[in-house]
Amino acid sequence: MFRSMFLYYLWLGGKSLRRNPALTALTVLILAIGIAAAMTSLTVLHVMSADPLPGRSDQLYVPQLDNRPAEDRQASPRPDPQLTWMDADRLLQDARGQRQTALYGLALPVTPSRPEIDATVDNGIATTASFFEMFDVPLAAGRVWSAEEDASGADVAVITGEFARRQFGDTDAVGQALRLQGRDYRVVGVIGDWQPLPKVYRLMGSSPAGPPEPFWIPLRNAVAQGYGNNGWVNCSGDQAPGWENFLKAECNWLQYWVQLAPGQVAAYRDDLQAYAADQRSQGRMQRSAEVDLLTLAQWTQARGLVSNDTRLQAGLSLAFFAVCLVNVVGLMGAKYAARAGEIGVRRALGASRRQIFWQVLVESGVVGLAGAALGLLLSLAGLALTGQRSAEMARVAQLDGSMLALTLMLALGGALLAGLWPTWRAANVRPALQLKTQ
Amino acid sequence: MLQMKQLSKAYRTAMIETHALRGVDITVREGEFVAVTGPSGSGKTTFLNIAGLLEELSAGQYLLDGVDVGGLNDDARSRLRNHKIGFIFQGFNLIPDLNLFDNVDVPLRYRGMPAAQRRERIEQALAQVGLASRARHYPSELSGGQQQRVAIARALAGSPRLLLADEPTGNLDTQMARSVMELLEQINAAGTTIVMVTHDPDLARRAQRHIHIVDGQVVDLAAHAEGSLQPA
Repeated sequence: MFRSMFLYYLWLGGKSLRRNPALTALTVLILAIGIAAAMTSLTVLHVMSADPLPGRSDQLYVPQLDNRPAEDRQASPRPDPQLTWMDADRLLQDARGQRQTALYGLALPVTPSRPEIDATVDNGIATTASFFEMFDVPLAAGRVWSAEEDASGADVAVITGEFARRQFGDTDAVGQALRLQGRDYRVVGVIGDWQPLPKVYRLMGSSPAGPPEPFWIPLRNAVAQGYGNNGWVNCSGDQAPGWENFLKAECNWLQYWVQLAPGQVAAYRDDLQAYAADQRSQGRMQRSAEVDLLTLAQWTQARGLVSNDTRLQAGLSLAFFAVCLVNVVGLMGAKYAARAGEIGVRRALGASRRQIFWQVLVESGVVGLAGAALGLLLSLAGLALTGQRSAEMARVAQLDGSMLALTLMLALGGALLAGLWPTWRAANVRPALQLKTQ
Repeated sequence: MLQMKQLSKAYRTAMIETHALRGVDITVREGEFVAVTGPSGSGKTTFLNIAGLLEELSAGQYLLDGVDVGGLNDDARSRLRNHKIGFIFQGFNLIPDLNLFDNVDVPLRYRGMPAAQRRERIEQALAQVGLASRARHYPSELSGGQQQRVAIARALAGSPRLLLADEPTGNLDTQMARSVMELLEQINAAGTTIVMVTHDPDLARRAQRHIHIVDGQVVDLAAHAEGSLQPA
């Protein structure tokens, strides 16, 4: 009974769309425009605030040490988000977490591996082998460099699939020599399909929506070669010239990550605190020996990954959607008011208020479905336009399965919500009055 | 079939109270064809609406086929209306974007009848009013008389015990009105109780009995029992 009535209401809903095409089209269009506006900005918000490492994000932490000078009065309330080489090196050696890594950005000249391509300067990352496991980086071929290669700072590299194709064409890249800054690096692995979004591992000195860097080499190799940081450097105190002096200076330039099991967090914080106290006793960290251990979520928030503009835009688009819904309420009200006579007839023929309510609500749902379909098309068009602003925006402006479901829910929910008041009014039509005025 | 005891209906607004029916006692027996007459605003349609469970009564008692409708909720009233009552209106009240088949289908849908049974009943009802071949036509493609026949088919499809007709020939020319009236008489002869509100004394005379309402009260029922009606 329920199923057959639902199908009957759906059928009536379909007929109702054709009953007053102009009014229906206007209702659907307003709903669709509201949905498209909301979905375009919500998609950007969704992508930028998405969990980039499901199942892993609650295990990754960013330790922070306050190495600012005591007299630094203009400093922000929070310590620098990066670590010095001294601290990163020491923490890596202590290895108190399950895994730990440090990284910094590179920009090195790449000698073409094939005659048909030009020399370029490409971005890369200097890090440790643990990074690939900590951030679930898949490999399409080869392997990650070993712990020994890490420790010795071997001339090895892992490269992205796209970079491999560019440099080596159809030839298997693993085992090939990649010449960076005039030095040969043996390619040991090729990264598979990996497009972390947002790119949380490097929120400083890189776009959060940018693609992964083309080449990755051991941290100690990069430091030994004196490859400078292609990113943020924040120094305090006196600094003598030269790379060796830079490594010993209070210059924060390395992003540090540690992976901790749930039971390890407190102990790690204590260790970090003890380390800071020790450094303080040696004359460093005079401003504060307090340490911080940010979760991944705290880190992305602290880095302002989702800008206030993005939030404001999402809020405004939702407000616009609400205004559209108010208009839909009016249009649906007009539509159902025009059908009060028919509703009166149906009541006289045995339809209860409840049945009329469901019938009209299902009709509203049909309008919602039509609005969702058109809204989806408009959303895709809006996202395509947004994506044309830059390559980064093109990566962000993608409608995934969950946003597709949200579009459908927003449209259906919105239409049903907008239809509630007119539906309630329709269900409470006084049949006797309507039949007389037919 | 229908028994109203001391039935009253008042419409109230913030300022005024209008009494449409005042302490009416009306009984219609099973199988009767009763005409209800009276001047405009006398309460005829209110009586019909209450009889058809479209309006609630303000006071008194109404028994429909032995069921006291006073304490019934909307679901129960709607179910009772759907199962026992058929309506025919002056303005036909067909749903314009449904074809004849789907129009006749409306009350059967709310009864939750299986599709095959509905189809059989619809075809039977349309055949009874001589419009079986027009089942896929739309109301706008029919004459007024044909539309009223569809409305009658719709009322008959559910096999109601009581047929309530509000000026069923009011929008029809004489010939069509006669044809519709003959159809109603056939339906009554087959056992369906009919209560018909009309202004037309000729039609009222064709009923077995008539009830005259003035100012919300049944007047001189005995005097009019033989059908000596004057035009309203």
